[in-house]
Amino acid sequence: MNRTGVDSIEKVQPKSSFVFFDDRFVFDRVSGMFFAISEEAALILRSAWEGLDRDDIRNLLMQRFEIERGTAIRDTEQFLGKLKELGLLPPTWRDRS
Amino acid sequence: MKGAPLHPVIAVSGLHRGESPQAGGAVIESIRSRMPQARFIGISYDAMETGLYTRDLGHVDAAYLFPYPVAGPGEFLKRLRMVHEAEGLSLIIPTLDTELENLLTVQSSLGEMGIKVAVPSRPSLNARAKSVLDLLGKRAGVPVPRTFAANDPVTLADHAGKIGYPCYVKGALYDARLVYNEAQLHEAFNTISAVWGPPVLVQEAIYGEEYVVGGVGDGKGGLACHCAMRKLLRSKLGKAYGGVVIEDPVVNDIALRLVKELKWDGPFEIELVKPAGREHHLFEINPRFPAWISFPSKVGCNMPAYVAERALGLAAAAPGRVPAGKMFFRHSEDMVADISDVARIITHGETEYTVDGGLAVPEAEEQRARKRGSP
Repeated sequence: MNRTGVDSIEKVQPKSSFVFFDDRFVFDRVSGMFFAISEEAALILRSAWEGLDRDDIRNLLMQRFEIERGTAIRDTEQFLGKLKELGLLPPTWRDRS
Repeated sequence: MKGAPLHPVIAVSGLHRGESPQAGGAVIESIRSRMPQARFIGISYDAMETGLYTRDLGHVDAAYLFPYPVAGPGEFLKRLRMVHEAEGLSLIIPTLDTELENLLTVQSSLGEMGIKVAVPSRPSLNARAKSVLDLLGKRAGVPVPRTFAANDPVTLADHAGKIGYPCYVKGALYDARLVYNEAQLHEAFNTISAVWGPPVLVQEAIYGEEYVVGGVGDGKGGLACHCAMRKLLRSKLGKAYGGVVIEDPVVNDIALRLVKELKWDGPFEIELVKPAGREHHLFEINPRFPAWISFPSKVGCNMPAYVAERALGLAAAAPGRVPAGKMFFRHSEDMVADISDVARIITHGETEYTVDGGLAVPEAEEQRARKRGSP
């Protein structure tokens, strides 16, 4: 994270068009859309674009936010569903149920 | 470069920056930031154009009232000869759609006078007209909302019946109104045709995110430079009052395909709409710089300066790209003027701007000659 709180997307996610600001705000360089999101949601979005699978993402959520496995599963599935609906998942995720 | 003027005199139109802002002030501001030695002449059609009274970087050094473009190329050329006699014009950069027909008609005469003009070719201009935009879309592989033209409201209503309501009623050059039924369509037809004349168009209403691409074509099918944005803030008239730069390969490719198909030469603005989950649709192509063109100029992509340098035969490197995430917000300000300023322009048809920020009576002919370097 640099001084202004902006990650260098090229270093973190070479294939992603998202720029994260303090993990609370996301800008899509391709569509020009931007969103305010929770840190949990930012972690899921980042992880999906970094190529992690569902289990990896759930485990990361449990570790980072110290939550129960059931909560991690629910949050991950709900948010991945939302991202899919909005067309914000990477191509490799789009055909997954 | 040989023959290039050291102190170019550049005439620019479209000086109004009100609710429906024109691009003239933004063009002047951009070029002046690169060419501070240039003198800017306002081509004005109305003494109420706000750009006549500003003293910011986009101000004119002198301005001349012209007959409205509807008066035709003869009247335009007559007035331009008078202005050229006084100012020694090097280049004209028009920013109003209505002027282009006149300028294309008198382009060879201007050439003989040594005046360059930043206009597209007539075939290119005609090929992007609203009434034939669907044909261009087919050739370039870009979807276009269904559009029909008519010279009377009954025929237009028949077309609207095929498209379905709501739909847009548009003038061939300006104005677009969303109508929800036939009664509103008749009213819109009458209003638009009374101001702009027939034909009037009816266009399928496509809703979605709006994108704009401002750029410059090289006249050979290439895109010399461009800046693509998503509109963030829109006025009631649909004008961009805020935007964020994007880096979308799809939008870039659309712009490239259209410019290539048209062999577009000079400035343009492409307007696109992207309905959710569907392709970008081509809304229209404006044959000039957009009013927001001073924004990319401030962040490394000075397209008006590039056009001016290229036209004047100065070394012109294509401007760089604006990175995604750069934004602009249009911020309205109040300026102070005096009724004597307006009176001077109306009574003399021209005005000169003094260094201290005031307006002056037109200079005597000998002063002008001295300025031009004549003996």
